[in-house]
Amino acid sequence: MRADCKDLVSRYWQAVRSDLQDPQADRIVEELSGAMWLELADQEEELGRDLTEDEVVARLKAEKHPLVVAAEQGPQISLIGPLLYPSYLRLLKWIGIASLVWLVVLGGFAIFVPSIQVKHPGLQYVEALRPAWEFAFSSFALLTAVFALLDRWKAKALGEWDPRKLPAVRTEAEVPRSSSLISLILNSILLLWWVGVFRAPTVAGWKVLLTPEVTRPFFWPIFGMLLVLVVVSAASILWPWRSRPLAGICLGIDLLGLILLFLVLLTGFQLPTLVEVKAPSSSPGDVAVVSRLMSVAALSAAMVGEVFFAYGIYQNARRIFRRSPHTLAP
Amino acid sequence: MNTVMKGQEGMDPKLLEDMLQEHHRANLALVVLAELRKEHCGYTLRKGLAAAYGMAIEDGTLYPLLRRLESKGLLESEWQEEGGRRKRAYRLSRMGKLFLKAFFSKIAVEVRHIHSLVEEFS
Repeated sequence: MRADCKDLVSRYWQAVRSDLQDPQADRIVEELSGAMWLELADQEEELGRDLTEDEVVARLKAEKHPLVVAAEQGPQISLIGPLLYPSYLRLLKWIGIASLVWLVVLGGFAIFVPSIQVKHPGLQYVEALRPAWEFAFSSFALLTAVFALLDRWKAKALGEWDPRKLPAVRTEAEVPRSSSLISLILNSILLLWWVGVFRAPTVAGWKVLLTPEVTRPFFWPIFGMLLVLVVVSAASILWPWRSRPLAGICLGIDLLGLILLFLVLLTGFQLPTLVEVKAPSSSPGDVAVVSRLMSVAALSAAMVGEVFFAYGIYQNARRIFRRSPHTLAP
Repeated sequence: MNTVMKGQEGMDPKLLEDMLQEHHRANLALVVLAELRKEHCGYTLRKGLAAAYGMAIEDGTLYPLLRRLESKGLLESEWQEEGGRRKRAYRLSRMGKLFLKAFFSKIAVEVRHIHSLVEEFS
């Protein structure tokens, strides 16, 4: 074989070797390259001449890209396996939708709210969109890490299951009691926190409060909304079926919640910060950083609330407009 | 492979081809073990399977399978020198022979059933 053709083949297998992560990588590459040398020698014997460079290139291209060959020969590794991947993708889609909605809302604020344009001249769009990017990237990283860990533990978890513990068959009109219970607990905690009965744990010497510019105008509307949500969640535990009129009422409540949180976000984005941080013994720099982080956290929480309300609207709309109730029950 | 034989008119040749590929994939390990009663390197084994069964097996399928069967003790292999080049030669191990004997005696009833189906449909 011509020296330049030999060089091409050697380069190809060197590329495969560098991409192959396997304890037996040397053996694999030597075996595969040996098979290819034999094949090329057979071809030359059949033709009665040396292969041309074009013929060798065509043969190498038929062998697939070195990265593909390395992937096929090496162990099949994945961060999230096929079992959990559909659930991961579904949640990722929701994060994507939430981030997109947030980007649109923030973009709208950056364009139409004059105070943001004055505060960040020239960079107002990038600066104003930052919370959405932070939310998207941190949620993506957290979700991926959680699913990667779950994937490592799945074999054990899936080995021990009991068909009797599967959730009961329910119709589309039925709200799972477990989700109503979670909703009741979360909304009760939020309500107690909002009226000042319950305080979030804080570091000694630090005091973090929502700014009065948010609490003053929105105290009663948010109090009312949380109270209604607590009542609806408790009622849904006792009576989990949603008839069309009931679904209509719930849709109305979710719509009001969506509008209310939108107004909170609108107000929040016109303020320099959403929280007041009081820490007399700390430096102003530290206070500014904590203030910024807590402000982003408060905005993120409001945005998550928006997504929940939007999802509630979607679910109740499905219940209202369903053609006929279907069930898996015999 | 996509030729339509007599009596198969009106049938999608792609469907037959897909089902044959699936059948080959399912039986590949057995066919490889059976073929390695005689010593082969990967390259000659691939050529032999293509000639005998019409199976076009990619390297990405064949070599990992050979290593898997070897790690289970059904095959044994060694490096050999030929024409100044090293090649890995595989053959059925003693355990592999016992495995094939036990396996084929287990599926004897199934094979007889398949024979009757072949006679009925061919």
